[in-house]
Amino acid sequence: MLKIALVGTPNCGKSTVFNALTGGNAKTGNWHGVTMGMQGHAIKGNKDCMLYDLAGLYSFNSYTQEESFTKKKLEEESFDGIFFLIDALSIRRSLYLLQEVQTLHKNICVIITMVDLLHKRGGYIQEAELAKRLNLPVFAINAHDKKDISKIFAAIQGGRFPTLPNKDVAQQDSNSITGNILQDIYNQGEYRESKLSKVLYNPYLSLPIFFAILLLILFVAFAPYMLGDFLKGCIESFFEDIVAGSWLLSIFNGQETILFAFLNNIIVSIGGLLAFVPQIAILFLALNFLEESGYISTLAFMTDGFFQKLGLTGRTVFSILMGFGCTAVAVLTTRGLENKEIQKRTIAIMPYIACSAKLPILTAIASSFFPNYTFLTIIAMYFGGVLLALVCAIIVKKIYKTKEEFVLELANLQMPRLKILLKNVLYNCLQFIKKIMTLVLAFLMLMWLLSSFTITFQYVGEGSEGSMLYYIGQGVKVLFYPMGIFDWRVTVAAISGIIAKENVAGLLTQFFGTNLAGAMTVQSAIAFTVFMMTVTPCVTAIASVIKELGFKTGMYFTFTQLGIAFILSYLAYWMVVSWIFAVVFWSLVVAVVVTLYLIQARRKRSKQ
Amino acid sequence: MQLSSLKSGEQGTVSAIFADNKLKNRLKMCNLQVGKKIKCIRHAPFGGIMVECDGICLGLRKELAKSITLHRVEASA
Repeated sequence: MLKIALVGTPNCGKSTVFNALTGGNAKTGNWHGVTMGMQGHAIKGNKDCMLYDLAGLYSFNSYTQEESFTKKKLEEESFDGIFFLIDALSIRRSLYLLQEVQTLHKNICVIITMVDLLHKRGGYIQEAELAKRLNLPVFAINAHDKKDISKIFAAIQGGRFPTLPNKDVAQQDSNSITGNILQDIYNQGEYRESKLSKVLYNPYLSLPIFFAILLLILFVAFAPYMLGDFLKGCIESFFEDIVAGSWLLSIFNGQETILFAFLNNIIVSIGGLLAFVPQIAILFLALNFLEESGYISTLAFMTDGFFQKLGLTGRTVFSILMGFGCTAVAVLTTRGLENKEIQKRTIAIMPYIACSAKLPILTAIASSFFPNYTFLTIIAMYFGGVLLALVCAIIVKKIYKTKEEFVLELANLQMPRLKILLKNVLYNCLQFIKKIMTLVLAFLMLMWLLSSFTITFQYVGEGSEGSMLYYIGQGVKVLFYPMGIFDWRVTVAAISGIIAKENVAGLLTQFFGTNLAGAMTVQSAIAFTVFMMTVTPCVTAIASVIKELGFKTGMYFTFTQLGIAFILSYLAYWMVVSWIFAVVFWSLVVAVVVTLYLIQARRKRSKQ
Repeated sequence: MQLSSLKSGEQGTVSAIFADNKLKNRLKMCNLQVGKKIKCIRHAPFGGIMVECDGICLGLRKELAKSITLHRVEASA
């Protein structure tokens, strides 16, 4: 078995090469530091050959945590060979890294990527001559070109790592590697800014364009009768009317047995969740597009000044955008941030970015309580979450003190490949469907049993008082009283979100059907939304927080967030219920903020 | 002069970088080091600066750009 590692500077196209060679589904992205940790996959058509994708690094004098991870792997693991990737646009600097890697591993094959871009810039590289001077095999390729990739396939045929045929010729002088080794054989062409990039970097257009894109995505996904909403309706009625309504009914001949009630209930609640696949697909398509095109790097640069004021850096834009997909994944992306303190700050604000699993809850509430303004309500919820995250950032800035720096290599903007986009979206949708059909399905089945039977296993009908779940729900019920929620079924649904956020909407449908208007008052629904938007993320996300920050900090975050969620939703409820409370509360807040500001200003003055 | 006061389209040669070694190393790997040419492409709102160093595009925060000094070079073309 051949073990090969992919090593190179960040954003030199490692993941693209990895996917081309394995046919796999590594996360690519035109952004620095997309690959996290180490992932391995067999090479296409060559099962004895494993390829490992390592996070990009600039040098062994590592700067970020990811880079030190890659270095550690290179030191500890024994690889049969290294594919050393070099971005054709900046070969010179990669030679330092090559030299460092050579101190650890001898079998190296150099792959120069993005030669198509190099040629576009009017540059050139003579690979044969470079191979001679480096005394290493060199391939210059465009990873999107099948012909180029087949060159590499051919080279590793027969389970042997490619070497130069005449290896003993002219031992290379290690000093010359960084010096004039590229003389006369390499021209990097001239950097030219594309028209698109000029528009996207325009100080007056950049942010409006971004918000326009955001609104467009939300509009296509959520506005009534637009693609996402339309498809959602189709799937919903398919499960409700056809599968449960006529098909299941005909099987049972209209007899309302316990089994019928069970199947009917499970089909409707699972179908209700599966109906979100189109909207989730649109969301992920947009996220992947932003990522693959390199636009996130533009955003990072344009917004860094703003994020600096919040104690974050432009890089956090990436994690925040990923947070709209999945909090657990977003937390893992924070590893590429500048330092541990900034990572902690970013992870702390992550739960307030509404992940795709919260979508069913938000939509259910919006359509049940604000049927005429569903789309606007959803937009308000999303932006409310972001606003909350920004306020949170200002607060955690005071807790985790550090000096922030910001250096970012800006990616070249490119049109994403449709095939890669679709592949990524398909992957994300399948992940969602898998979760619904396994974890959530099992959970909903269990909950149905608990909520339909008494302790002595007598059937009382789902969601009835006296069922086992009724007694379980009693314990935590009190916590929801200040939100005006007295129904234990809502309480149980809210708590079930800790396991997976999809459960909440699933359970609510199980108990109340698709219209939640009977479950609580509008005021309570607002408090409930605030609770769902601020509560601790699901266990998967908590696990990744623990993985990044350790058990202690992870638990600290979890319980603080839980406490804050309760306080905020109580406040929200009382403010909607009584305007006097709202006035008193806000005047108190203003008073406290002004006092704190004055004290600080005085301290500053007395210091001078 | 400081890198931060370079205007868009202007070029300079880096004369000194005041930063810790780790950061200096990172900048070096992005082709930004003493003696190298650097070109300002644009400034961002709230003070960031986008520069091109030997084919690589870099975004830098204003504070960092202030700690890099250079000699201005008149553009040849």
